Amino acid sequence: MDVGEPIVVSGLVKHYGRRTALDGLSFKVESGPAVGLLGPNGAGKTTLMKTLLGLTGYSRGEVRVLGFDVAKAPLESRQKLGYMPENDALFPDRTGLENVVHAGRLSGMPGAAAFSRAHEVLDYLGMDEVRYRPVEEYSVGLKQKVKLGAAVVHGPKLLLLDEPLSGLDPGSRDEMMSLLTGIARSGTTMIVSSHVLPDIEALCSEVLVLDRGKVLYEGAMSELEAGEKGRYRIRVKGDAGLFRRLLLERSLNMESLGPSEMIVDAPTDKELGALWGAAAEANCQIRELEPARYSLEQAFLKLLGSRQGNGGQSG
Amino acid sequence: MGIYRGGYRQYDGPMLPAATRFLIIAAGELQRFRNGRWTRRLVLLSMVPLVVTMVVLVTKALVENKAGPLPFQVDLLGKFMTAQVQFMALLGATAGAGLIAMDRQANALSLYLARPVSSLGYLGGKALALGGLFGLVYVAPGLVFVAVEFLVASRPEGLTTLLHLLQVLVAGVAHIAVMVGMVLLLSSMGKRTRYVGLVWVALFYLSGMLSEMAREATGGEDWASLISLPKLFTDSAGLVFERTENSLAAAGVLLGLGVVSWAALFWRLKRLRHAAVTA
Repeated sequence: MDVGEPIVVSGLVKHYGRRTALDGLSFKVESGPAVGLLGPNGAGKTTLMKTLLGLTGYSRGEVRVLGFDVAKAPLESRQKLGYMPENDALFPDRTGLENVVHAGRLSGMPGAAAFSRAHEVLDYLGMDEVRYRPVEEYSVGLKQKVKLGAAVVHGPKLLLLDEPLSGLDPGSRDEMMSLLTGIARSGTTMIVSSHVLPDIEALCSEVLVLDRGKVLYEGAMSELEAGEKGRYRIRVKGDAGLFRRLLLERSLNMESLGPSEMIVDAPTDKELGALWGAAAEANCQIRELEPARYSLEQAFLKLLGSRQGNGGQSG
Repeated sequence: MGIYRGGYRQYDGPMLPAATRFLIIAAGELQRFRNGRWTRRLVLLSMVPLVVTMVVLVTKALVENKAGPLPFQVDLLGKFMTAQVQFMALLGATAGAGLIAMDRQANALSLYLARPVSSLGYLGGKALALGGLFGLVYVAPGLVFVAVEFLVASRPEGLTTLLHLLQVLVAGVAHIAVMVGMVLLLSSMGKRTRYVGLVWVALFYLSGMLSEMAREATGGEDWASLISLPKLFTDSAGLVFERTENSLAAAGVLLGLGVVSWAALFWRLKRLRHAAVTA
């Protein structure tokens, strides 16, 4: 069954009294790449999630999830939608298995199918005998797994994840990332909302950045992180200190990243020549020279900063 | 390690229509009722008035067979239903109080509402479960009473039996609908099942005490009965037999309470739905 593009939002406006939470939001999420949903507090991420889940109405615009209009066909739009909330949305007096089975049945799976599928999903998540224990006895990591199991038991085509790696220790984080990557490979489109930008960098290839109810950037993460032209990341072997002094004497902007690593601005051939000249004079070998990229955090902050400076041009 | 090592795969099997979701919710809650120690005890205890009433019915029939009709009449069915209303109220505290409150406490509302489950389906499932439990202690024993009364009566009167049947069915279903609405509304306003249960019990029985105090203070005014929840249920049940001012007023007030409770419940669920996601 062709379910259409996972998400199509056009001109979405949502007011809370006099406050405008979403201000003419328009974007599209296509099947395939995982999309990171970013934005400062109050950007509209929560309101957008609620709208996609059909938990709140909106003043104007159109929202289509998996080909269904959320306002006109809310139940159909949620049929193949999975949601993993940030908080502990589990029945504490039931076992992990019972929670996942119940989630499957609530999504419309027949009893026997929900039972066998729940076992299959919990196997994938690496939950063996522990699935038969009450959820109230689980650690944070196990609860996150059960929540993920409940979100994917019915085989959703679109998965909304809210802070999926929250509260996990490093080992559990790696495990959860591997599980999510496996799910994404099956053809499930994922939207990941998180304040932890390294998590978004690890899971997603596209980002949607919101600020004050508007789209600030929509597209590939690689393009967002791309640095300006003529900015290079360099690693040298030799007297790095002398090299740095010579760069400064030649009026080249330099930002140190480590003992022998730095970012240098050399947008013109003349400045590139000065850079090589400094290396030769300092008797240093340039072992790595590549275009400098921003981390997602740097790119995100730069985007917000430029929005505040320019009054809101989107990327 | 897991048995299945093939990695994650999609599910493309059959899916049931959305209209059946309320049954899943009801089944889940009935399972929870079965596991509730106090709920099980109350259901068992609620059979005691039925047993006692059966003994009285049979004894009355035997006496009337030997000595003719008794010089006095007792509204056994009315008394019996009054007793069963108490059990319904107590079950409202032990089983009903947690129906929505537990979901709120566990942040589990999003488990339901972020799925293809409508607000009507969610409430319908919860109401069906609680209504079924109430029916088990109110309507079902009432039907047994009517059947036994007909079978043992020395001179069975078809009209009386029919009226009794109507009383059990009509009053029973109406009373259950009102009490379910009130209990679910209270449950939607709290997160701690115990406190919600206590508030419900207090409301139910304190209203009776307040009614008595008002009657004494006003020298027996009829309107004082309309404050008492237990009396509202008892007096409105008699409407099938006799349309007195009392029974009409009681039925009217109870109906009003029911309508207000259900309307408030739907409004409350709309607000809870909105707050179900807190990213």
